[in-house]
Amino acid sequence: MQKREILDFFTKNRSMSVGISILLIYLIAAIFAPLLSPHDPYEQNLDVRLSGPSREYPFGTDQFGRCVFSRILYGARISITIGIAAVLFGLIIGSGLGIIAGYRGGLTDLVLMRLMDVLMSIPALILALAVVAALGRSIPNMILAIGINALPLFARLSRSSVLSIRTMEYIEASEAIGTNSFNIIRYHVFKNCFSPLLIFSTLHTASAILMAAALSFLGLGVPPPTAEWGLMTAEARVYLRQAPYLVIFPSMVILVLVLGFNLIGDRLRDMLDPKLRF
Amino acid sequence: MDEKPLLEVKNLSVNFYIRHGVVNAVTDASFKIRKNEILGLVGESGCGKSVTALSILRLLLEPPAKIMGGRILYKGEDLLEKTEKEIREIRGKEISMIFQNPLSSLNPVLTIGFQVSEPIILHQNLKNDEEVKRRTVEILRQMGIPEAEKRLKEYPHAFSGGMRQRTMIAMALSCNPSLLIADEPTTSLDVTIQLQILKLMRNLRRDVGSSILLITHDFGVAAQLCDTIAVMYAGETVEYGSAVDVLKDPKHPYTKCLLRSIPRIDVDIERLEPIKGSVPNAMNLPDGCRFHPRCPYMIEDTCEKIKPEARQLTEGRLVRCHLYGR
Amino acid sequence: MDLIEMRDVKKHFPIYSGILPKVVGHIKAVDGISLSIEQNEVLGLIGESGCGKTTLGKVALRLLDPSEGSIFFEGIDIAKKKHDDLLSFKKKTQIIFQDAHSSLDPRSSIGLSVEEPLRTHKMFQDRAKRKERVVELLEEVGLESEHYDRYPHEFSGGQKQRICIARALALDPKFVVADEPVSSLDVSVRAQILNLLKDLQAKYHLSILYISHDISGVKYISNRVAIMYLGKIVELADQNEIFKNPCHPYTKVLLSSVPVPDPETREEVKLLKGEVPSPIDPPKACRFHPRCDCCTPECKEREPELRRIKKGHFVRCLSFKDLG
Repeated sequence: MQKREILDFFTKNRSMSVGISILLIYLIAAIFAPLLSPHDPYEQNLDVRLSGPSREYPFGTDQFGRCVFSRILYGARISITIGIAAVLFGLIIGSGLGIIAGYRGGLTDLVLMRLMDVLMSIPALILALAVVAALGRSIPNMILAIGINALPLFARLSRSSVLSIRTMEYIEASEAIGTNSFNIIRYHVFKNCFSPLLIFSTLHTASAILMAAALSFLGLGVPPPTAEWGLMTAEARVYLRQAPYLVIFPSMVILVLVLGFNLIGDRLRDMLDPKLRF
Repeated sequence: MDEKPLLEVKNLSVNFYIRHGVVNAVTDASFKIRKNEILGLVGESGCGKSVTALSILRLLLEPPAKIMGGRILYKGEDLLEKTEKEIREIRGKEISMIFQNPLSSLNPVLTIGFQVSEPIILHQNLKNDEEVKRRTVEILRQMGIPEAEKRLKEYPHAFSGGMRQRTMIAMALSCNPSLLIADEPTTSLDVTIQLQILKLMRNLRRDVGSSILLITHDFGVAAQLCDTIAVMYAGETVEYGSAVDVLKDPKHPYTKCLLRSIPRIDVDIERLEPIKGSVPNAMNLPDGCRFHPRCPYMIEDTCEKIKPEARQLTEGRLVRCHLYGR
Repeated sequence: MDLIEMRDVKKHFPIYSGILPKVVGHIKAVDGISLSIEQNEVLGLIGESGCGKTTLGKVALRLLDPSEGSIFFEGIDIAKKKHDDLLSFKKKTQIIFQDAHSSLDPRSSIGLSVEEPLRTHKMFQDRAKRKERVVELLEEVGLESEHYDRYPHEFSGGQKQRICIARALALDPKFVVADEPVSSLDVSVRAQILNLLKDLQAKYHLSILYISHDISGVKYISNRVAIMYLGKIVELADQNEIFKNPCHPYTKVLLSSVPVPDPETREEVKLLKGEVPSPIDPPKACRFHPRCDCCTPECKEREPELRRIKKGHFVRCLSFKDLG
């Protein structure tokens, strides 16, 4: 019975299952990178530098003769970690601020949201560059840089859902019972603004991964020789003519992962809309 | 009274195809409106009365809606067979419609004058600006809008709910239509304003000679305005007859029970007799007579199995119930 | 004995304007209302949209803070108490809204919604006992115990309103404000809910403030009726008195405007002239004078008091005596 239900779900939600499969493949790749990779991603073998895809090196080798396939597998660890951690940072802190602003209203709302506006008015990449430039190049700093960018987005989204939930009569009914603000937020507000936040988180993970790659590409992400997709693309662009696969493979990998998150997010939006659920 | 009807709806049936299945919004609606007559189409929400009205003007969005069968004869011609172009000629000029919510039926960014004059320009071939303006002011004044000339330049938000509904009626009437379809025109209004609107519609019939199809859930409104009443339940017309007959001597159990379950201002009622259960879901209608699960007069082995047909009791009086004419 | 007594209660909502918000005026939604409701009594409050009847209901429960005036509940003034001190008051009072659909949290099961008041007031700490109580409440309003785990969207409008009534009854309240509880329901279901309210009122000796614009419904359920116009009460009397002998000109028009479901009594009723004035700047003196047919020069000068003309019958009109 259980099995059939799960099967049913996946046959009915084609795009969702494609998205989940993509994500699963990447997760497996990231977790089992040491087992799956044919070579050490940092081992240089100058004899075979810039050789095309072969049985030994499925995705070819780079300018130092490192196995591109292995580096991509290891790179999944960093990209997925950064993407998810940055979004979690934005989700927890941003939506926390947004819920407080929306529920309290008045001066709290004014101050918090103007702060968010300031953050939002700075172009995303420039803000991230500034953070990394100030704090130095490292994975935690990248997470922070990308997470700060997500703050105002999550704050605005959660605030607007709280504002619309606040006017609902079940909140007033709760107040009439005498329930205090903390419990109203816990039982009613949070539950009801959770689904838009979840959808947005999924979609935003994709952009966070893209931004991580962009930062590395610009030389402000993780320092070389770390195996990171953006960095790989950046280093390979010099050899675009001789070895185009060096750019193509990491870019494809980014593209497919972003696509996977987007597929899940889009489908989640349809599924969690209570109006479409009955 | 064997005058040819202005509009006759025969066995109309409309389905909606949505993601979760098929909604039988209207399955068998039949009624006719004579010239200069006010017909009340009475029923609860979801009984298909609005869908019926929208089908007459072919305003249903297809898909999801699909007209499955039946005929809508207007002056002897089937509206369902007309082309989109032909029906557009009829809309607004021959048949016009007013909706329940006057707030959302007026465009907030256009002036009242512009919106009211639109159908006049469209259908009456008045090219002269002066003439259009004169006619616009004239109908607004007829609707009892004070200082109509000044009001032309105002926007809908400056109007109260009653004034907006009167403006809507003004728009609907600007081309002296032969038939006005009014879909719950007073439901969102207060009683004192409702009265103004009802009076307006009565005058309209007297002065212009229009027929009116009034859609309402309120027997009070229907009683005050209508000559004939058609009662709808779960997509079917269950009773049809003159207002006095239907309200004073209801035959169908649904009409009977409904009249007994509404509180009245003119009669002291010790205890209301509610109808048990609730309106059936249009995606999952009961077999046989659709009212049988709620009906106190249900006949075992008949009502739940056989779908009753509309039977004529006397001239111009139809009832869809197994209790009659077996 | 009076359970709740409002004395000269006002609720003015400020209107802000400008970039730096500045108060430019007030919406005088409730403008000096004195009203008391006895134990075991249903007081019907009739008024047209915008007259302030919903605001009055919310002020009576302190869901809105009154701008002025006092509200005595069981002899204690609760108008100026802090919200933290109102817990015992909120336990004894409840509200039922018009829109049962939006007054139930779509993501809480029915059981969870109905037990919320019990949780808030820390009653029935034992889970099984609490569930027992919720099931008892559901059965009381005509639902079944298996509805406990279902969600609001699975229910019809009438059933949702029953759930709201169950939640309102959970704490054995003494005073309930019912704000248009049947207006959004199907006509054939309204009678069920009206009868349910009537039965529960009799069983638990509830005091109910029944707010509605549906005059026939008010007539059916109320013991006493108050008519409200532009933030003030214009007439107050026993149910049978007010419907047989309405005295205020507004009440007369209002009651005669109700369409009767009898095609043989089509009277030509007098129409009310003009529009309802804005509650921001209501007419001076008698608020009804610009629309009144019996308006005298005095009506434009002096504000009438709500005066007693008979036992239990009060009218706010200067020209009433002339009409005899």
